[in-house]
Amino acid sequence: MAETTELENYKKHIRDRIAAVSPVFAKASVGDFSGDLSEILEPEDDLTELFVGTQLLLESIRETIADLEATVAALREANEKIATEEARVESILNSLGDGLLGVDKDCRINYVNRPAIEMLGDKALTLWQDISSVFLLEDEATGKILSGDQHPIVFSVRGGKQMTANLASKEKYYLHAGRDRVRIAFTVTPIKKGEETIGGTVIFRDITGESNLDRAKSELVEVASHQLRTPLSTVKWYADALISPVAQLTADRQLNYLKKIYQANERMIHLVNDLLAASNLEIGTVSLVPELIDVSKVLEDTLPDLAEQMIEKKLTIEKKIDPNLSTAVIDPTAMRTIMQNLLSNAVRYSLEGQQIQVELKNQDNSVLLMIRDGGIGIPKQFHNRVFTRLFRATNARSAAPDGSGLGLYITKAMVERSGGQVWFESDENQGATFYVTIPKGE
Amino acid sequence: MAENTDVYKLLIVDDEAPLLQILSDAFTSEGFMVRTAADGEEGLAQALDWHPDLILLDIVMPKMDGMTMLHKLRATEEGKKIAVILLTNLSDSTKVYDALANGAFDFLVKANWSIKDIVREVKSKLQPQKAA
Repeated sequence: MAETTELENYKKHIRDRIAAVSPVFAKASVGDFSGDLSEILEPEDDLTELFVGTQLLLESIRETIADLEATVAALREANEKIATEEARVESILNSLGDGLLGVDKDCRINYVNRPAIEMLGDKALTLWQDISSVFLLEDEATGKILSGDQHPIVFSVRGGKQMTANLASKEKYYLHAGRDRVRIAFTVTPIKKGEETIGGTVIFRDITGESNLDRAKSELVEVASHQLRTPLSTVKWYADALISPVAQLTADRQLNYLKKIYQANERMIHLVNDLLAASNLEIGTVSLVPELIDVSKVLEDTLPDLAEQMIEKKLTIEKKIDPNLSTAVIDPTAMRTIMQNLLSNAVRYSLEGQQIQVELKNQDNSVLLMIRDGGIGIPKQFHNRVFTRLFRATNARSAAPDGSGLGLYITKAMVERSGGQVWFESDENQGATFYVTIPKGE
Repeated sequence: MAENTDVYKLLIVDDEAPLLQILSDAFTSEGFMVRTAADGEEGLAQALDWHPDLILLDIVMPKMDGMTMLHKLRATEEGKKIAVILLTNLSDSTKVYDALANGAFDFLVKANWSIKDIVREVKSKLQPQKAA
């Protein structure tokens, strides 16, 4: 009987002890390890060791959780930094003027920036395509679209070597995108990990503009040297003949030879001036400063330069100047250039004994300048090319071999930059009438 | 007399009037009979009509250029054997080689030759056996 009571008491004691500790276990089962068993460690009994062990376990778990949370926080912060950095890099890559492509070691596309998509078209958006099927490159020399190892990007990545093609390269490459065919400059750089190539980047841009400018400059130089050769030969031979003549030259002939030298020199001066003006227009270094200009005065100032030629060809000039002519607003040098070019053309292409008519009319918003000659005129088939650089109609070339082909190009540029317009009416052998409007002040 | 007293007929074809004049004056002073033409059309007509001994021929000319004139000249019986020296500027070099294939005798670059040199060249082409 005493045994049963002792057993009962012991069972009750154990049950009480377990009940005291179960809240802690209940919390732990839902992930709350904050329970504290220190209060029930006393009195020491058979369960104490178990409770102490559990207490230590809980502490250890709490510490581990704290470490993990700290690590997670640190990782989260690091990830945020990476995301910010990625966004920054992405925005830089997309704001590049140039297209950028990334490829893996098998030359499949794994990155495109926005400019690249714009240049290549939407097909570039599909990743993992072979680069030679998206980046269609034509080698100008063969006219063929490159593929396989012939494709510079594939060649560069497979060979692990960087490659650049640009305006200065001998090879010219054209990118085919949709219906466009544009000349591009590009650089392919393999991405290396140690000695191994693990991919590549391609950076590329459209160089049509630069290429055209380059060609225009070479053309200008070529034409210049060609056109200068004749006056240079003229000066050389006439001077040579004066310095060491084969037979004694009469004073008349000597004077004639000197005049020829003078004229050849004048021709070279005009040519060089025209070339510089055209070159400046092309490069964009012309700065026009409008002033209040009396156009009739510019006309009067320009005529003396043409006097000699006009006397030689027995030309007359008729001027009709509007009595109410307002001042125009235009850069004075531009106005002089326009006047000189148009008047000298009228003189150059007139036939002997003809009359040149110049009219200045006041209009609502502009001054109208009209210059008419009755000479060789401009055949209809050339009308659309008259204002283009270096163009001279065949009849003009025959009549006056010493034109540069730049006068009307320069004139048109000057007129338009000054806010005016220039146009003409003409037929072969029916002369030509040129019209220019020059803006007025207020 | 060892001196060759033949008067040679020289046709000069060039579209630049001042150059035509100075060459004409120089060769006339040297005792040549000189005729001139300002384009290939006129030059061809003169060549076939007058049978010059030598032609100084410019390449770039309106109406008919030197290359075309030479080609047409060489297609005729009389024109086959006339000596031709091309007057050119360096930028025409590809045309020059074509012309040489067409039987031009020689060519010279205007800007690099003095009148005396040209006269000497013409004389040597016409009198190859005479010492220079």
